[in-house]
Amino acid sequence: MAQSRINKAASIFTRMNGLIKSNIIKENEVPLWFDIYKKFPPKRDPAYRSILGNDIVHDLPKKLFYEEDELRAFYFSNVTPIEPIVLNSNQRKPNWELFISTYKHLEASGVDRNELVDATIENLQAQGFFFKKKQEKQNLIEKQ
Amino acid sequence: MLNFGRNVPVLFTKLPIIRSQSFFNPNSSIHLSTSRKQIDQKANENQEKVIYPLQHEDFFQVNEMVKLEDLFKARCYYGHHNGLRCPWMNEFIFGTRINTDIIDLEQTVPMMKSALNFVGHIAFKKGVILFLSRYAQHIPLIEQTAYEVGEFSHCKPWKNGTFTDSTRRFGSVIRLPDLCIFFHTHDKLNETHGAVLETAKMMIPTVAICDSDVDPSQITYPIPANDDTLVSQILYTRLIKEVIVKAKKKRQELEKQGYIIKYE
Repeated sequence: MAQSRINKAASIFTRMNGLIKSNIIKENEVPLWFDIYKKFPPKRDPAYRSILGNDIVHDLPKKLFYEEDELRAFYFSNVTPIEPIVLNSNQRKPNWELFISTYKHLEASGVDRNELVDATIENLQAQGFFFKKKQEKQNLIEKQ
Repeated sequence: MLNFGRNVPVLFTKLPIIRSQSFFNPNSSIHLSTSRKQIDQKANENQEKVIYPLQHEDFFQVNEMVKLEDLFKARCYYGHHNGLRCPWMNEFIFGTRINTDIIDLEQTVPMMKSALNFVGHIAFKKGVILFLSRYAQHIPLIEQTAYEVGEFSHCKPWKNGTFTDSTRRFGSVIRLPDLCIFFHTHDKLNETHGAVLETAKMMIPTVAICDSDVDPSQITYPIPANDDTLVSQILYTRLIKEVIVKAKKKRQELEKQGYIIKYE
């Protein structure tokens, strides 16, 4: 069967279409995928392109931030030890998610903003969680 | 000076248009009415027995199979590190979270549907399908699905020229696959699979799962999604298996009932 192997010139559809139009490939030899491709074409013509060429590169994606990121940063910098993540299941939430949820719950109930972090840690310790502040450690070292 | 350029087109527009051509035209509707009636009668006789799969918008009910929730639960939105990104994947990425790319799943769903529809039609036409991957953890899964479906898989190290120089390699003229499905498009670390280039050369269409570090430009039906985790790989194999099994079963049932299948 006649065919062109120049993959950088054009996509597979345009090459095959040209061969069929010029009667080099007859009706019996048309490949299976040709009719299906013609009816349901992909989003983009799958031709070769290089970064050095004239094709337009899409803009860089944006950076993602959330409101709770400040709380997370506080948790990771000040509270030890950090719990390992369980990858097998999606059911169990990690410790810092509970920290954020209790913080928001207390904020809604009307605790002062300066005491919120200490209040959340006390609240979780009462439930049975083990927390250890980094600041206390640092203070101990300074005293010695 | 004479302004011919202005005057000439006005003259032509004022000429009377001959509207009585339709009476003398042998191809007018009056003369063709008898032959058209005969064609319509023949179509009515064979209406029950002929089926045109391409005229259906969704012949294998693919739209019901793919759901955004399943993709989200199978962790298909995770990309690679920021620095590994291929610039052609910028449009499929939702954003970067702490230097890791996150893929936009709302764009993957329609692309996955079109890819699965294509796979189903090729299985319906009795085409040969090849499953390809070089990721060591997923190879047993992919080989098993290929065995269950009744298609072929190539998960061993790729030798250059298996498609382009097939007659010398195998000793005789062989039939190449009609569709290649890549579950992972890297051969080694950051090195594209050799079959991506050879399918483009031999004019074989491809369906591939493209992570954020993959070049999707030469792949006919790319699916932007995570290709490194096993949970998401199980979902892709399940969907492809369902489509192929459904298409083959449909073909058998229609042939038993005596339908004539036409691709036009």
